[in-house]
Amino acid sequence: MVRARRPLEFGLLLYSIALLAAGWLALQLVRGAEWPPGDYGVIILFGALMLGANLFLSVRLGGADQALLPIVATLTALGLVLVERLEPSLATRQLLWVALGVGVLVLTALTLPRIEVLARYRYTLLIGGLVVMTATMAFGVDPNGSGARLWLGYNGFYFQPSEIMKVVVVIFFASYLAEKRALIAHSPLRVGRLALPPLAYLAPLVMMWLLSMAMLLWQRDLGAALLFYLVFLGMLYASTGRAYVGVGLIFLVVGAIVAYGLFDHVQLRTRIWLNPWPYAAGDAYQIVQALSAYAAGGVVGSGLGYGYPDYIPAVFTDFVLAALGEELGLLGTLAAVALYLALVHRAFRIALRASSDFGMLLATGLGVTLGLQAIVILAGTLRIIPITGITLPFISYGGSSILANYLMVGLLLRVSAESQGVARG
Amino acid sequence: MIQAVPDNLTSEAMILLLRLGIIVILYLFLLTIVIVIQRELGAESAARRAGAPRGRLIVLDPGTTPRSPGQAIPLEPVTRFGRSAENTVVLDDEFVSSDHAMVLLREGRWWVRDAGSTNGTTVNGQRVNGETPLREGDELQIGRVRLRLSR
Repeated sequence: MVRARRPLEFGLLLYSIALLAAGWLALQLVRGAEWPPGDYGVIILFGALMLGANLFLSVRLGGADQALLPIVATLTALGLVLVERLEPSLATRQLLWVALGVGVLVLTALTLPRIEVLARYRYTLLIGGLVVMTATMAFGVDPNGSGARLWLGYNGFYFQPSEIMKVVVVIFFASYLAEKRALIAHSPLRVGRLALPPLAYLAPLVMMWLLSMAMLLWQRDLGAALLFYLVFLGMLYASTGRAYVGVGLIFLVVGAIVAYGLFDHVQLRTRIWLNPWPYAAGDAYQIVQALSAYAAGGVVGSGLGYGYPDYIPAVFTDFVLAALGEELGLLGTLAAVALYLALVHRAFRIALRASSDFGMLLATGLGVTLGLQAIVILAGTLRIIPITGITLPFISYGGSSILANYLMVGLLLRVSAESQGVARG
Repeated sequence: MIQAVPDNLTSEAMILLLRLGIIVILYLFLLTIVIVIQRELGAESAARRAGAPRGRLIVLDPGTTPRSPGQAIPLEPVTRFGRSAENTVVLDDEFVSSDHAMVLLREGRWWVRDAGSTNGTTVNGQRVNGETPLREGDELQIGRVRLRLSR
């Protein structure tokens, strides 16, 4: 009886388990194991985890979106296979993070009494987040030599606060914009022909811009700065339906010019983006290796375990898509892109059916966050935009990112469960 | 030695099969998602077509709004009432808050929800706290505007 409440999710989850099984067994065979290979532990654990989540959600959240978790599970399965391929020593750890992530998802989806509770504590959340961010600026460490001190932690157990901060910022602005929605109408502020947003919107816009610039200045975290600012712009657009985005983009361009003038690493990244080839052995080594990997993969790929993605630095975190492109080819890369597209579609669908403005804006913000992360790093590794260090959601190795992303899915399911069943006209 | 050759062959064949399997599973999954989305869209547009004229509110007392008694206001699945221009139905009465109340269609029934108004919303004289069902013939009061639900 319980099983029948989310049959679609159950069925779709079987695909993701089959995907993990196929990838995992293929890797063992490529490494020389004989058929049939003996190690099924990870597959069984992953299956139990996802089907367990399905069961928990069936009990309390029967009406919530059923395609969301399977899309995430499929991306996660791809990620586990790629981490096992690229850095086998970290695969068990990744599975542990996924287990914690699913735990967080189930807890968020089941224990939160109503999603509006989050709106009530928005200042507490924001101040807590800012305190942790400040602590990172002061005491942050750089355990993996990436050149930016973005982690808090001790003794091999590190945590990246900006990952949780992105969820806090989305919650805060969803609540703030939902409350200020009535004020929109006409703005008295103008500069020439350009209508400025009312103060209620201008103030947080400037604040987000300053926060992003502060992150750039102190932490050199270009990716997170860009993400935070664009997510806010997306939510402002969803909330007002107006082209204040124009003003926001002008701010963005100004910020980019200022950043270019002030920071060496921004200049460097722009230079190797425009023409990486003269620096192929030095600063542009990573991006050139990534491009060669995509090229080597072709349409069908070299096959799992048959490529040489190990030449790419940080291939199991930020550049994981290049390894996917080499070994699973264009077919695999396009499938991954389509999965992200489907993920964003589910988030926006949940937003359209949300029963409150807060829920609508929250789901929009979460969807934009997940989608933008995927676009920014995907386009970065393909040299469509300058490369910024950001993880590929659910696929990259990384504990804080997996936890934060699963938390976001939990919130989306919660909003979906409270929806009214009919889309907004 | 001779025994090892077929073993190796099975392994090679299995690798090829699994490689193919990964791509096939990925695209089958995506195909299923597309079918799911297509069905949802079909169901939603059918519901919208069938559910168009399901309810309307008849104005009994227009308060200080420029509406006239007897006028019919058709209801949408989500209809927002209030004084600001953002609402589905703008009620320019001085006792109506800028976002006053909303009427929702859920599981074939109408519900009233107060959106945190100053002067409150009543159904048949009863103050709405949270959500209250609205039946045919019920009298809904928003500020000084009185309305009756009819088909």
